[in-house]
Amino acid sequence: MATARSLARAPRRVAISGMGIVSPIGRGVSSFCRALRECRSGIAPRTLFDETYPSDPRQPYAHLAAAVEDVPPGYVLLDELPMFALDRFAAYAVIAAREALHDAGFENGDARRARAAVIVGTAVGGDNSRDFASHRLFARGQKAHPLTVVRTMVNAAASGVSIAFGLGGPVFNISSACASSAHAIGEAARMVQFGFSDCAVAGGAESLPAYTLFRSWQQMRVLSPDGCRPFAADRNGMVLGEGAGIVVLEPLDVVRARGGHVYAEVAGFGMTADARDWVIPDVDGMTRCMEEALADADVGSEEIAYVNAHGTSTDRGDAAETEALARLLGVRSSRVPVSSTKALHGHALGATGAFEAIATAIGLDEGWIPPMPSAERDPKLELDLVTDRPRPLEGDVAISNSFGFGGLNASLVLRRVPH
Amino acid sequence: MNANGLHVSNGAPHRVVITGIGSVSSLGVGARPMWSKMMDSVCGIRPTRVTSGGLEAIFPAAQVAGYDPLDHFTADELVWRDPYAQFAVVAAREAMADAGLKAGDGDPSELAVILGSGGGGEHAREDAAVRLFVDRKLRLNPVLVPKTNLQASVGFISIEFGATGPSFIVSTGCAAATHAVAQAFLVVRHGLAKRAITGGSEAPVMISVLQAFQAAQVLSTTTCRPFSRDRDGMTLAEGAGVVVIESLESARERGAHIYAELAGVGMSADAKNSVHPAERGPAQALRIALDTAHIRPEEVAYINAHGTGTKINDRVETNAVKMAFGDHARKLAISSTKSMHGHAFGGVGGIELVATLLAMESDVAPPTINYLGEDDDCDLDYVPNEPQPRRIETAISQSFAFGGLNAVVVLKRDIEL
Amino acid sequence: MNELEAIEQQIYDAIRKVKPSLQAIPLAPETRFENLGLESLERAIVVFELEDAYDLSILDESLDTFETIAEARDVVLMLLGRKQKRAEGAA
Repeated sequence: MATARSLARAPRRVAISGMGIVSPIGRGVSSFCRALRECRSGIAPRTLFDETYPSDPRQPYAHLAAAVEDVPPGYVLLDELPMFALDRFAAYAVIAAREALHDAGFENGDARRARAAVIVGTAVGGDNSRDFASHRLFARGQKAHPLTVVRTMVNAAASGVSIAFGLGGPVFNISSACASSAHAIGEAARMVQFGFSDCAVAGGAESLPAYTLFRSWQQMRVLSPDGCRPFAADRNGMVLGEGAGIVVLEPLDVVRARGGHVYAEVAGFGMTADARDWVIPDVDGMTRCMEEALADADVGSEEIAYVNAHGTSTDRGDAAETEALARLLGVRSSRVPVSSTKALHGHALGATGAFEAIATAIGLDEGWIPPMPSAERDPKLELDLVTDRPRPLEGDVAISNSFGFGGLNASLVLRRVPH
Repeated sequence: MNANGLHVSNGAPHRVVITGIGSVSSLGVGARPMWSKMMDSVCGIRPTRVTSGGLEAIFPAAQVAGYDPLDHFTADELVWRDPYAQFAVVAAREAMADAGLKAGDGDPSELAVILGSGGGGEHAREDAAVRLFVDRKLRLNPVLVPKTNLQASVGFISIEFGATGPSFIVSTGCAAATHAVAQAFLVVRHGLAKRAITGGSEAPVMISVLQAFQAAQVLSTTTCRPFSRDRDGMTLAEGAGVVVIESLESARERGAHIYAELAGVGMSADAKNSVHPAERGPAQALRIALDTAHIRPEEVAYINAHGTGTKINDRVETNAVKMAFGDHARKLAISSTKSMHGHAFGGVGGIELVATLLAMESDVAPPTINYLGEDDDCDLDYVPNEPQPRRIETAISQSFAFGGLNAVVVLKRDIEL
Repeated sequence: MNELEAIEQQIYDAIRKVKPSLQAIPLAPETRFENLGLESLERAIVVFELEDAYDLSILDESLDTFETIAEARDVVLMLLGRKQKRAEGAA
C-alpha cells in the first residue's frame, strides 16, 4: 500500500510483466504478433450502418477501417461482468485485461489485485451506446435505457476492468486523443516508479466511432479512401481502427524475484503539449517529447535501435514526425529502423498507443522489428523503413511515439531486459 | 538535470501548494462571488426548461448564472468551444490571474494542464444527434470532432497559456476533477512540472443527459438535499472549478500567496458495482490520503463531501467517513455544497476544492442547505442550512464516482514554509 | 441575383459561419481562401456547409482544392449541373 514513506523512496525500475490485446489483426498477443510478423493488415472495406433501428435516417456508408473481427457484433456479455452487456470499447478492455492479468500470474483471489491501479485511456468512449441512446431519444421519442450512463461513460473501460477483476487501487481514465493509451501507460509507470502503486494495469480501449462521429471524421478530410501508407509518396490520410491493449506494470525487482517474465522495461516517458494548434502537427512539440522520454530513461539518442512511429499516414503528420526524428537522431536519422504498425492495425485512437507499446515490447523481447507493407516511398522523407518482413532488432532500446490531435504528445522508451 | 540538460525527475518529492483559484457555477462567475452566495446559503438550483429536437423538459438543475459567452470569447472562438470548454477556460483565467501568473511566465515546459471532465462537449454532441435523427441530415459537421473532443478544455488552456508540460484529461465521471487534481499533485510532487493548472469542467444540462440519468433513477425531482431525510437524488449542474498548484519552492521564489498545501491524495476503486457505491473503497481512499499527507484523522476539521443527495450515496459516504475517522467523525463538520451549486459531474470536484480553500481562508464551514432534518442513516454534523464558523486548518475534499472510483485530497493551512 | 451570384452568396455565408469575424470584411469572387486565414479544418467546414446547402458531395469528387471563391463557385455550379442532368436522365 502506498504510504508517505514509500513516496519518499528512490524511484524504482518498471517492468511490463503481462500483456493482453484485442485488435483488428488478432485477439490475443500471439495472434497479434503472428500478424505483425507476417505483415498482415486488418484494414478492409466495411459498411457503417446498424440495421436494427427501424425508420432510421442513416444510410449504409462504405468506408475503410480496421475492425475487430474476433468479438461478436453488438453489446458484449462477459463472464466476469454478468450484470449487463458492455459497450464494445469497455468489453475490449476487459478481454485484454483478462489476458494480461493471467499472463502476469495475477490469478483470481491474488491479494495484489485489491491494491492494483487501473488506468485505461480512451479518446471517445462508448460511442455506439451514445448513438443508440440518441436514436432512441430523438428518432423514436423513447425514454433512455437505464444502462445509458453506465454504458456511455468514458470511464466504463477502467471501471469495467476494475470491477471484473477486483482491482481496488487508484482507477481512472485518461483522455488525450491519439496519445491517450501512451499517457495511461506512462502515468501508470510513474505511479509504480514513485511507489504510489505496486502494480498497475494500464493501456487503452477504443471502438470504431458510430455513425455520427464517423461521418464527422470523414468530413474532416483526414481519412484515406484507399489505405494506410505511413511515410509513402502517395499517402492520403489515416484509417481508423479499434480494440484494446493492456499491460501489467510492476517494479522490475519484484518480477525478477518471483522469476516472472519481463517483456521490457518502461525506461522513460515523455509527455508534452504543443500549445499551438488543434490540427497542425508541431515539430518542436514532437521533438521535445522524444527528448524528454530519452532524458527520463537516461539514454542517449544513439542507443535507439527502433522507432515505432506515430505514422498515421497523413501528409503533414508524417512529414512533421520525420523532421522531428531528424532533429532527435541527427545524422543517424536515415539509418535507424522505423516502422508504423498503424499500416496493419489502423489508428485505434485511444487504444493505438497501447497496441504500439505491446508491439515494441514484443520486438525487444523476441528481437525483431514489426514491418509495414512496402509502398513507393516519399523521397523527401529519409527514413530507414522496415517493410514486408521483420528485421532483427539490434539493440536494447526502442521508442514508441503517439502525437495526438490538439497537440498532446507522448513518447515511451522501452528497454530490453536480459533474462 | 542530466547530461542532455533536461530536467529529470529524481524521486525526491516536492511539497505542493495552491496559489490561485477560479470558478464558474450556478452561483456566478468567479470564486469569491460564489463564496459570498454560499455564506448567504443561496441555492443555485431552480426549475430549468431545456428543449432539443422537439423535445422539452422542465426539471431542477443548476445552470451557470450571470454568464455571457461574448464577455469572454469572440464569435470566432465560440464556433469551436462547447460550453464545457468555455467554462474551463474562464475559470483557468481567473485562477492564473489570482495566482499572479500570465501566459509566458516561467518555462512553459514546467506548466502542466490536467483537468477532469465526464463527457466533454455534450452540447455539440446533442446538436449533432438532433441534426441526424430529427432533421434527418446525413452529413455531419466536421467541427463535431474537435468540439466534442474530451480534451478540448485542456487544449484551449494549453494554447492560451503556452503550457507545454504534461497535459491530459482525466475522466472518471463525478470524480474527474478530483482525480485530475490528484494526478496534477503527483506530477508536481515528483518534479515533472513546477506548476499545474488543474480542476475540471462540465456542461451537461440538456435533454439527452437528463434522460440518461433519469433512467438510472438517481435524479431528484425537487432539489438537492444531501444527507437530509426525504432526499431524493442528485441535480444536474454545469460549471468549472480550476486551481493553480505549484511546488512550494516555486511559490516561495515568487512570493505567491498560498491558500493551502495540497498535502496528500488518495485514490481507490470499489471494484464492485457500476452504479452503487460501497464503503470500503471510499474509506480506503480516505486512509491513503491521510497517510500520504502525514495527517491523523483527528486533525481534520472539515470535509467537503461528495454528498450528491441520493439515498445510497449519502448513507454509504456517511459510513465510509465513520470507518476512516472513528469517533472523530462526529466532531468534524461535513457538508455538501452540491446543495447550492448542484452536481456538475467532472467539474464539481474543482468547484468543491475552491469552496474548501475559501472555507479554510475564512474559518467558516459552508452549509448543506435544503436540509429538512436528520435521517436514520445520516447522523453526522452536516452544517445544516447555515454556515458554521470553526477553525479549519486541515480539510478534505472527496469525490466518489459511478463505477466505484474514489478520489480524496487533503489540504493543510498554516504550513511551515 | 443570378445563379452565380446566389452561389457566391452561399459561399460568403458559409465562410462567415465558420469565422463570424469575417462579417466585417467584404468578400468577392476573387478572394483567395488563404488570405482569409482559414485553416484546413475550417476549410473542411466551409465545404461541409456548401454540401449541406446544396445536397452535393464535393468531397467525394476530390474537387476540394479551390483557391478562390470563384473556383469554389464554379465547382458547385458544375456539380449542380451534373445533379440536374442525372435527375433529368432518371425522369
